[in-house]
Amino acid sequence: MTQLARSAHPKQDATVDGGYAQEFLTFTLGGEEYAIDILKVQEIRGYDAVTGIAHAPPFIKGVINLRGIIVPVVDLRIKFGVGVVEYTPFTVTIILNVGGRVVGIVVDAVSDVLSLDPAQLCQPPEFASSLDTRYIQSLGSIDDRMLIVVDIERLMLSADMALVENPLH
Amino acid sequence: MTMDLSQFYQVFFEEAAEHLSNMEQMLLDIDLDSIDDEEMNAIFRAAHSIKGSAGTFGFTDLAQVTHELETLLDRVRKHDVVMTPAMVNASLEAGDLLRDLVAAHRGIGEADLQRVAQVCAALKSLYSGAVEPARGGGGAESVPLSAASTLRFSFLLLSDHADVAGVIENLAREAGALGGRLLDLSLGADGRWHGVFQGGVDAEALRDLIDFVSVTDSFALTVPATDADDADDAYGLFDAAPGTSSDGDNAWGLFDNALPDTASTVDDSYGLFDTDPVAPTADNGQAGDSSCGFFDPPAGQAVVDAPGAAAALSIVSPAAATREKSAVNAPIEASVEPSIDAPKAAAPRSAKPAAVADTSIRVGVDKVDQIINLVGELVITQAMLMSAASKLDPVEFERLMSGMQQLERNTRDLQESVMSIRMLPMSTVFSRFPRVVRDLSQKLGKKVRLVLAGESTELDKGLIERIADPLTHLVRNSLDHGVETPEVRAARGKPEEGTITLKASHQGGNIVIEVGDDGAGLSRERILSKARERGLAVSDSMTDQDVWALIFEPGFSTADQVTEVSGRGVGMDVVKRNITAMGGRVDIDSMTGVGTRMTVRLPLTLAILDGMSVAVGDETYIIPLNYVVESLQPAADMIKSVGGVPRLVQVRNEFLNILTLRDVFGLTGGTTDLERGILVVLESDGDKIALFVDALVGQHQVVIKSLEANYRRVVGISGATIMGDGHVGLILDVQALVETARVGMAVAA
Repeated sequence: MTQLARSAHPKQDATVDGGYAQEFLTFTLGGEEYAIDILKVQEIRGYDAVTGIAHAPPFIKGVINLRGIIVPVVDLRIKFGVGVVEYTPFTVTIILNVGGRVVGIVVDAVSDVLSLDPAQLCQPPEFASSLDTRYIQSLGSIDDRMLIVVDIERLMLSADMALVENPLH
Repeated sequence: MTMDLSQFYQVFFEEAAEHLSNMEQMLLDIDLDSIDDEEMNAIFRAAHSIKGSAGTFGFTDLAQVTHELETLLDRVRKHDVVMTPAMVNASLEAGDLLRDLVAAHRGIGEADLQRVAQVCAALKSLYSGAVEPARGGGGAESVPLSAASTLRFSFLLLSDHADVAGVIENLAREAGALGGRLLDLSLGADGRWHGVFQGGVDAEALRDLIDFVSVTDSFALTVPATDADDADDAYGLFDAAPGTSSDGDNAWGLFDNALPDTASTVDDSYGLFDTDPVAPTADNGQAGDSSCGFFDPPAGQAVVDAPGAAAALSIVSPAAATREKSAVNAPIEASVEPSIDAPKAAAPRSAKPAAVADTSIRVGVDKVDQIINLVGELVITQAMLMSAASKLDPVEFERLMSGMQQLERNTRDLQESVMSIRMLPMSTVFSRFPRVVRDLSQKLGKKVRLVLAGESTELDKGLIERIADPLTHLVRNSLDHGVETPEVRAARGKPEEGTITLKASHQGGNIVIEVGDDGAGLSRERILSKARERGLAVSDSMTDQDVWALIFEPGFSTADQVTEVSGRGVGMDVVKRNITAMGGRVDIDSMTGVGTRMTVRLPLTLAILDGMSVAVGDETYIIPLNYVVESLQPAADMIKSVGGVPRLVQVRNEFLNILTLRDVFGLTGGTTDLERGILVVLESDGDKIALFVDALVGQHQVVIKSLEANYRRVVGISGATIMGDGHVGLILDVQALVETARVGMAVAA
């Protein structure tokens, strides 16, 4: 697992060794601000035309056609129990490329691309939440704002998300 | 009767190039101090694959070199000899030569016949331990037959033997004295005696032995377990070959322009065919000798003889498809004189293949996929424009409207043509089998009828290309191990002619290709004992399925002898590996004495499907059309309830289980009133159910997309597709639904 985690985050190692900054895409879920490694993001598109899948957990909205590829879409708002779950023309889907798979996540809004250097990141304390702390890479701070840096690859491929046949654990 | 194999040449060339570069890479990577068995197997498989295809297409020079290479690798693989740097070098050199030969067949450059001989000799010396001194006329390359070799031979018995049985018995005894065993000596339909000799004697000694009792010079090796079998492939082109010389003329007719000057030698060449039903004259016998001479040192002397040499040359021309390849054989083994002529005869024809090869372009599958996806996007954009334009006033925007219609038509045509790039009917693969079966059955002395079914089943080109090799292996396997010889079949009360069935169909989210034969079936005891021999963990209590699966183990073969066809135990593990790599699987059903059926199941991914779309609430699902028996709107009196719940519907004389799709998938929309919806009667594996849906939407061809690529398997869903409006439509797994209906809804929910 450590092996995998390391290989999935080569840049992070570099951060520790060399100390240069990493770029993150930030988005909001309710009042919370989340950040994910921008290299995992394939594209951002609107939310439309989702085909529901039988017997899927409620947060798996279904599948969409992304230029001929069938891509499952997860609503992180339902998964984390934050924000207002409504689908409007402004609802945003972030298409991720994680572990060779393409998946979409629905969030409230995409806010920014930020460059964070190691000094701005710190380890999260242990706490209980709907988001397992295993998936929280670190916490970032910028001008009094707190960013929750999520290990999105690990999260999406985990058994919790029910997206893959053989989860990463 | 004639089949143009040249359409597959391009594929073969590409494949061979691929195998060669793989092999080279693996040879270069090999660590002589600790050779990995898996690596060795992989190298061996590469060589074996080239040999198999080369043999099928009649590229005898390629097959010859790969055969030597393969024999060497096989011995290394089986730890008979230790891999040395010299062997690696020789193998690499053989690889280079093969690449040049492939190029020569493509019309680039010329085949260096001298080099073929050199490389073959080098390889031989490596695996046989020593270079055999050259024997025979004109310094021909010798074929050292190792002590363990098996010789198949045939001869004409002298007609003045009164006591034939006694003679044969004597032969067997003499053979024993030579240190070998005479097996299966029997009188063939052609009046010649056919036999197999096993053990420590070379062909020369065997010839001396047989000469005592046979018509002078009628002795011929038919499959001397080395090069001669390759030659058979080349000659297999002639349908009429076993006939008399007048039949022979017909055969030549197939290649009108191929032989300006060789027709006079036709008669001589017929001695080559051991199946010749006409008792050969002395002349024929001699020609038979000369054929031997290509591949076999003892016959070398005969080649020096003038008619024999002529016969040797005549082979160059008839093998139209194999043209120069046969010519390559001739000079290697035959005497000096013909070797000068052979390249000349071949030269004018070698320019041809290059021109033909350019009529198709090989494009990366990813590029085609990209086009398909882009066209899909275009269709969606077009549909979007269409719906926007439909809100406009058709009078005011008349030109826009007609433009939109044209756009719609063009996009549809474009989409159809793009789709058709990838899809090929199974017949493109199946069409090579009549030839394979015919050649092989002739070679093995079996009578086999090939039955093809479902040739129009369309399969993605990528899968078609990759399924061809495994299927060929399976068919060859069925022919070699499955179907018995006519004598045995007659004795078992079966028709003399065996049947091999090739059947393709769509089934339960899979493409199913069956290779069946009505032969002897697999022998449980034999497989188990062989497995024990090889040290595999087996027990007598294993299920049949588990026992059959053993034949997919690498190196596993129950064949008594290694022939070109099979017996090295390389085929089946390659088959399994290739099919697994495609995401499919192979199942074996076998019954002793009745036959064997190998079922290859491939995922539908990328295949095209005729589908019927049905609606439940807001959702649309696709039912594969081949499961749909009928659709009906039930009347109240047709529906019967059991235990207070309407469960069955009476359709004519049958009571069918009603499965409500809405409940199966736990949907919220849609109706539950049976009289307001539609029942679709589905049939799978003989079981019928009535699937209740809201409405029928339409019928269309859909391209199956994998749901599992980015998601996981969903019960009741076999795949997904993109609908005309860009939505994802889910394809129902009818087999699973029928199963659900049988075992109860509880399982599905």
